Amino acid sequence: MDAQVESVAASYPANSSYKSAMDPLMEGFAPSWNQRTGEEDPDYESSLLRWWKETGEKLQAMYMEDDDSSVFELDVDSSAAGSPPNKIWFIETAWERNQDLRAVLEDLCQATREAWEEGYPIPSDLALANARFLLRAAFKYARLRYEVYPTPDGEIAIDASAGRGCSVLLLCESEGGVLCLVNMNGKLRRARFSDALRLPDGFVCEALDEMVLSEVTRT
Amino acid sequence: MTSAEDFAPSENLGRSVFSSRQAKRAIRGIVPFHVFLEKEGEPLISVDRLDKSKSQEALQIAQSIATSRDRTFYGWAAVTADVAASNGRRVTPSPQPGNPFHADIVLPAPAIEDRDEQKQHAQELATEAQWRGLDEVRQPDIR
Repeated sequence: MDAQVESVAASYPANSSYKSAMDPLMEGFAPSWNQRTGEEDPDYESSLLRWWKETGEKLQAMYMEDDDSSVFELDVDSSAAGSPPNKIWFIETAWERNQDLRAVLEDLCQATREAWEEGYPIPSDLALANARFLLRAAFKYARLRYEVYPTPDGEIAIDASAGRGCSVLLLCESEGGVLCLVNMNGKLRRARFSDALRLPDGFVCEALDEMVLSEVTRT
Repeated sequence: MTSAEDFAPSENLGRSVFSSRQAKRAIRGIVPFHVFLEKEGEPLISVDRLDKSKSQEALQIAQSIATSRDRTFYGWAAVTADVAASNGRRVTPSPQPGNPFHADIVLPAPAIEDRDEQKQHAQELATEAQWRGLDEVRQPDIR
């Protein structure tokens, strides 16, 4: 770990599981990170540590996915009074270092907690996974402003906006379906999909294209 | 459709927000659609007539409601009456004890029977909504 990471780690409250779990994680990850980017990322380790600090929970698993992203599963201790009953993630890839995407991915990580605090049904693992997939796919396709949040129906909403009057809403349902709602200045249309992994399809891409055009027109 | 004698097209109708997360998103520029989403089958969306009351008065009413629900009031997501009354919706005054400025946005029949349709109306209203946070509300009334 570099000096900055050491200082962040030093500020972390005493936690006996921290050193044993975090050190191998950092040793294994930092070199591959540098190989991929070819440069240092001073924020990466500290953001990981910040997450660790905020959640203060047990690290359940860390693994690499096919698309080279890393998933850190932190499982909240459901035996503790007042704790939400589900797990959250930390996800990172090279291109996800974009601050806007990182912010919404962090919101997605918090969605289970948010649902619990708001009194909503806890989103299913499938809804969360679909939302994560769709968010990254949508962000790659169109750099718009996105918000991610749980809904009273147990969905994860991916809300893309290009200012007042225009929005594309992707609702990832607990059973795996996705509802896409489009509003272009009062002109409404919608489509329902049973398989999120086939998205974004022509309907969704057309809506995102319209959003980008709308944003360009405004500016 | 509005009742012409009751609502000016530009009259602001505010949906109270009692969630800090929803308020933060609204401040960032995206009002979450479920701010305007009621329970399945519910045809009425409760709003406050912001232009009919003095800001401090409306704020006191909203905070009183929040207190009764053990919540905190953060502000309103406001739509104009003409937006509220478009796409088959209508607005109607519905004064209540303790809130003489209460009104309802009434959804059309298909939205009562179809949850997806109901969500689409919520999305449209949220997309058109402007955030009125406490900082703005606490400004002295100019009128």
